[in-house]
Amino acid sequence: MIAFDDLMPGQVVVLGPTGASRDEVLAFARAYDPQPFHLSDEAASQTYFGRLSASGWHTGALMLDLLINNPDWPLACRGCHEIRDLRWRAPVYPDDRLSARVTVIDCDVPEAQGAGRVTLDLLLSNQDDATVAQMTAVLAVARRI
Amino acid sequence: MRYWEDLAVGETHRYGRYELTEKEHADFVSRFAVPAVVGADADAVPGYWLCCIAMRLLVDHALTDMASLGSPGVDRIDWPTAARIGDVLTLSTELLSARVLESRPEMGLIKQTMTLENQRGDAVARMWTNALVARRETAS
Repeated sequence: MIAFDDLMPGQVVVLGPTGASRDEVLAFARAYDPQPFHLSDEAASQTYFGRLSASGWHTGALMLDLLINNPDWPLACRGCHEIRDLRWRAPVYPDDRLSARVTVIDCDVPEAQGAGRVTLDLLLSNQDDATVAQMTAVLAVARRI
Repeated sequence: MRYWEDLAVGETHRYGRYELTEKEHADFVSRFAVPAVVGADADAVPGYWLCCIAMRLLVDHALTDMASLGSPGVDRIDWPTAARIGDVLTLSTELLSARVLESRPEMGLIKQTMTLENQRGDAVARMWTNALVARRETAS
């Protein structure tokens, strides 16, 4: 596991790929963001998105899943304090191949229950190297015992 | 349909009633591993799921009647109180600011807080959000 003690400001790790199929994009939108442009190509063609694209909240869930549930970088995450500056910069389309560049920004002194507070910047890009989303996540990460 | 001109800074709304069910929770966490809220009990639900529920309430109750052009992002999200299965949630919004974009005069940028409250009135998720809304006078 990647513990608090293994992290230093300035470290960078690239995680991925991830993404969502057309069926997954539609299922998420029906459940949580049923705006017309997230439900059909036809409605999306009238908008900035051009064609069916994922809800920004779906994209955010993919970013967090990549960060928390990753055998390549098994972060000992004990929870999230807050998320800052979540930005949706460009549409995410079905079957885009997304990868996240994670930069360690800050590692604060340890807090209760053997965890330290870690601030991470995540930058999500697609297969064309275009940035599609970003966020800053403030997490609790377990210390080495 | 409400356009940018129809919005008043300071306006507040309360929307909906959304019960957290075990079935929906299981479905969400089987698709996305999202972090727990720091300090919450093991039976608390993940905070990011609550954000998705807040969006659903906003879409159902506000955006269906708004000339919404999407959102560039959210400035901050936190989760002051743990939420649990069986809680019944309501969304409160407050419009903080509204300005026309110099680069895109056909739309305005609004900032509003979205607060998801449980049945006791405790905030279980707070979001400081941005959204783009079409201006009536330039809408075709």
